[in-house]
Amino acid sequence: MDKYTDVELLAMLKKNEKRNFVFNYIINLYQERIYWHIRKILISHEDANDVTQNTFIKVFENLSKFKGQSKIYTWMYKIATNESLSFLKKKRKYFFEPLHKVSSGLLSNLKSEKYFDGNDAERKLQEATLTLPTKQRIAFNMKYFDKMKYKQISEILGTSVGALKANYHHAKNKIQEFLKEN
Amino acid sequence: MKQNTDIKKLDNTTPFRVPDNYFTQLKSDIHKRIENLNFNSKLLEYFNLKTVAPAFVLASLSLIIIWNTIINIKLKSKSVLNDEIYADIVDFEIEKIDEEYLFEFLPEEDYSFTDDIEYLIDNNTDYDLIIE
Repeated sequence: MDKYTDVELLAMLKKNEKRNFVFNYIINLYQERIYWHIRKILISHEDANDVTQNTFIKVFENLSKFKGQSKIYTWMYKIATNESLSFLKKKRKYFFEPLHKVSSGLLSNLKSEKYFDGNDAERKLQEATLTLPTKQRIAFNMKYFDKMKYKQISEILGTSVGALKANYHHAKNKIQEFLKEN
Repeated sequence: MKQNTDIKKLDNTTPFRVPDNYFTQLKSDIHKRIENLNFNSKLLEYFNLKTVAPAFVLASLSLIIIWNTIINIKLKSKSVLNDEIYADIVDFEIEKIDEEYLFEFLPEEDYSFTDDIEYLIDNNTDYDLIIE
């Protein structure tokens, strides 16, 4: 597959007939990364599949409005994060559950998830991340599992680098404690 | 047994997996949904605001005009009836009223006549002839 820079893709987007080509290119390039980002937030494969599809549909609908003020992957990660958070909010409203109950719902998803290959320690680690507040958990996942730079995470989540560093440190300590206790 | 309590020693690759050929399927699922979306939006184009709004306005205007016509016809038939009844009552009352009594209530300038007409009245000339 040929590689295109964001600038080249944006230039192609301006020509309407290349819109589908750009969209296909974006799907091929980012679908896995976007899926895994969403999967780590929602745990369940079925939910992650729905939200990934919704994310790409949002991307398709808004591709013509994309002005290139941020990088394409940052923009897509933002959409994916927002879609995942909206999904969790909807689920909470549907079941009339308070926010802390969301993590217990996700925990039961984790326990019943058939597409999970991890050992006990990895399961424990996932359980530990579920004790974190949702946004802190997302930031932790991006740093710890996706090995993203603070600057990239900061652009996606709209949080300062300093706050993210403090948050990550705090999250790591909490997880460490959870692992010691359990 | 407690194991791997240090986060640094844990494997930081994701422990989740996906069904076989999932990402090939995902791409085609996304395309299918977008095709449906395009079809629906084309369908909606026929019924979009630009076409529906003028039709709605026209229909509303026609309804208002029809409604007004019906109301006017009803009111007219009512007012014709009322006018007829009113005229009958006035005729009936005028017949009963004494002319002199009527003149008392009229302002003087309304019944002051020229000398010629005064003469004709005094000589009991027919009123129709005077008016002519």
